[in-house]
Amino acid sequence: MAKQYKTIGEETWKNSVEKVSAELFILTYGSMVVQLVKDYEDYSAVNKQLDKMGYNIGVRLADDVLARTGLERCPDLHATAEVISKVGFKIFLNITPTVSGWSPDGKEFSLVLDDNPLNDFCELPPRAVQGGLWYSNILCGVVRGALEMMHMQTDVAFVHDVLRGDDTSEIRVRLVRVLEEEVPAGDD
Amino acid sequence: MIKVHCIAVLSRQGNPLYVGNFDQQQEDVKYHYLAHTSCDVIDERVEQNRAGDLFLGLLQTVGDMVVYGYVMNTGKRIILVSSVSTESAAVRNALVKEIFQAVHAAYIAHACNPFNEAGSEDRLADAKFDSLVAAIARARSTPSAAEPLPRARP
Repeated sequence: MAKQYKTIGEETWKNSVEKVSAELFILTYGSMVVQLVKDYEDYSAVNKQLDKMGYNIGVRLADDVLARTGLERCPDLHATAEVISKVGFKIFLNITPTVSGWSPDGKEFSLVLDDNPLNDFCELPPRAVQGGLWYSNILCGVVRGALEMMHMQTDVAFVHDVLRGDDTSEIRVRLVRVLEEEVPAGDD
Repeated sequence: MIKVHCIAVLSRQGNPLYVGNFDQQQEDVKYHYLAHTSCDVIDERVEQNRAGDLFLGLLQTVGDMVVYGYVMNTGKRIILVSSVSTESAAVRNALVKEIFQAVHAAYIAHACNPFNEAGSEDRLADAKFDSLVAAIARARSTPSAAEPLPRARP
């Protein structure tokens, strides 16, 4: 199953995705974060804003991904995690974070990003590190928004970040509950 | 190989943005002075340099110190201070040009950091840039001249 998702992700990335300059995107994101920092002056508020922005992106992305790839409903959270990593992240950022750290009840997992393109060139000033800024927090919002479109309420947050001096960048995803499923009209 | 004593980055007006002193025997102030006196020579060379070549070559020789210059596209200058050597000018120039290009790349990586105030006339206070330039200077100060110079982005 995992192999199939990987292939789908790569095929879609190669064929169906329009590419834009990575540097333009990275610099745009960087200047947006810096502007937020200047406007709010409180790093946890900036984190919240980034998460909100990501959420708005995520709710729109879910339909986009499904339309491009024609994937079917995932049987369980394990498969969902694979899709996020090998298809979602692959299509939009061309990275495949590793899925790991499953909790015993199977409701939590980690996405470990070996290489986060948003971090290129970026150095957090010491104030930002102390203030608790998660630079790529928009990604957490995106995952949360996309999963909500898949009827799963989740908590998604960074737990480690290389920009803060940790060894890896790691996002923790926790399933809170499955939202009420409505049977679409016409389904048997 | 080339013994690099100092690498300095100056703004368009000649303000020192970064002065890296890799020579334990000399004080910083001597290199500030050298950088300052090189400004006029740089201005002259830039005037003449219609071809748009970034490497300005040997600027001046002061005592046993030689000063090379390089100008970035935005007008900022990099100077490199080394000791007089017996190698041919062409070999020297090639080595120095390589170092300048590596420092230029390091400066670009520093400038791309969204948290840095771009275009400011103040001193560059970035530990990463500092350590990169120090590594570049060190890499060429030893005889193992074959390795590529350190880069900010792998």
